[in-house]
Amino acid sequence: MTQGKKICNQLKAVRRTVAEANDIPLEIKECTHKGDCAGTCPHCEAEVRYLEQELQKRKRSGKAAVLAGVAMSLSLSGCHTGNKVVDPLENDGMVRGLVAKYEPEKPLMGKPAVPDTIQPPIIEEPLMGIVTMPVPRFPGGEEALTEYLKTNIVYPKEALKQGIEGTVIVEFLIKGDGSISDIRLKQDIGGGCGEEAIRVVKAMPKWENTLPNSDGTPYSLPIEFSLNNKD
Amino acid sequence: MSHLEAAFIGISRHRIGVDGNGVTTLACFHGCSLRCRYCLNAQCLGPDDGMRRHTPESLYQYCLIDNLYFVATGGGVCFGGGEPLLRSEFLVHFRELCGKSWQLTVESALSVPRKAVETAATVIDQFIIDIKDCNNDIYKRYTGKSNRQSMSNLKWLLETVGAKRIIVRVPLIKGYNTKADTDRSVEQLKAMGVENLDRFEYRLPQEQPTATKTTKKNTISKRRITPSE
Repeated sequence: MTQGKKICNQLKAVRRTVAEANDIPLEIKECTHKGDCAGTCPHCEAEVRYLEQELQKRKRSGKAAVLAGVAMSLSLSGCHTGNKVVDPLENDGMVRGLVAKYEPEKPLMGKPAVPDTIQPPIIEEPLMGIVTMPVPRFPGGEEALTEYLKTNIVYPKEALKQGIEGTVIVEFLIKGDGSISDIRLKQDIGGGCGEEAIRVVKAMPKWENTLPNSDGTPYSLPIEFSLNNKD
Repeated sequence: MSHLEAAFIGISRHRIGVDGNGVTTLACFHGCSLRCRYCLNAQCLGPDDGMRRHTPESLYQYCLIDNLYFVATGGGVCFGGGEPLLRSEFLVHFRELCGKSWQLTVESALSVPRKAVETAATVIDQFIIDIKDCNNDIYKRYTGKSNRQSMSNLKWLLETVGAKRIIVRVPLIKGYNTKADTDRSVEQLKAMGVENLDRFEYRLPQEQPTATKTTKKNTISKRRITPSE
């Protein structure tokens, strides 16, 4: 059963309990909706409004209206994954719920029924629960990395002599402590360019914003050796 | 009361068994005092442009739609975030509007000035505290901030509102603490008088490749090297 349906059923049980406790006739029809369920719909909301009106009528006519805690004995649980105290086995630690795309502009309190023009809530979308992973970065950022490479890489004499140009690709891992490991040449153009690129990558300072205890975040760095000084 | 207007990253109705008793609406404030590395709701840290704004009055009106569920089940509104205690005046005014029949809960890290906790304590029924880790080094690495304030506030809260109204969550945070660390946190918290503990593990969503597992290379943009003069 979808999460929305579970919520729907539990809310339905609450409505039934309120109705029974106050002798309010309430015929709960079987929901025939086949698609995704956000836990409530115009029909469910209309039932709530109906119950509220009936409770008001009872109060106005001097009858007792029982609401506070009337449904507390129901076993309500397990409608959202997350930091759920009741069931750690299902707990994904990511709480924070789902929000229906449809949300009424104004509360529907007191309206006799939900207008037909209001469309049923559609599939819930995760609003929260997004995890932001740390992304390792060269100290000082992109510009600092460019500056570091331009300052430290020396165009190899052999490459100059032979007129070698092209792109070298160096691959490496950024470890949890920011250090660099597993450096290897993915693509070389000869003339000592690959060796020079590796030398400079090896000498890089530790990267920042790493994931501690990480096995390593893989990176691929293309370095273009060009004899044309003009950009 | 426009000065109490606040930005919200989201409001979620009909939460059951997660944020306190009964049927609950979760209202998440924008803004946080911490910078957790696995921030669950990172949108609370950026600009609040385009986010839904509410005064206590407008939020109360919004939540009123579920009054029947709240009152019948002993539920109410849970304020999360972000850090809801940064908006403790908002909470006080909201309580004035909703009265005593709604249970008000906060999900907080308590990393806020004591005054904010004192203010909230007058109106909040239940505190769900994400303590992260009691070890200050771990806490600092994970949140970027010392845990001195949050631990001190927790101690004050325990003494003032009592352990019954407090649930402390102790997460196992991949890459930051270990099971042994969380065991130590639990022992320390019990010694402080915490009675309700919720241990769990931050599990990273499957669709989100982790830095430790991904095999896809992060390609850095190409750098051009030319012969020096």
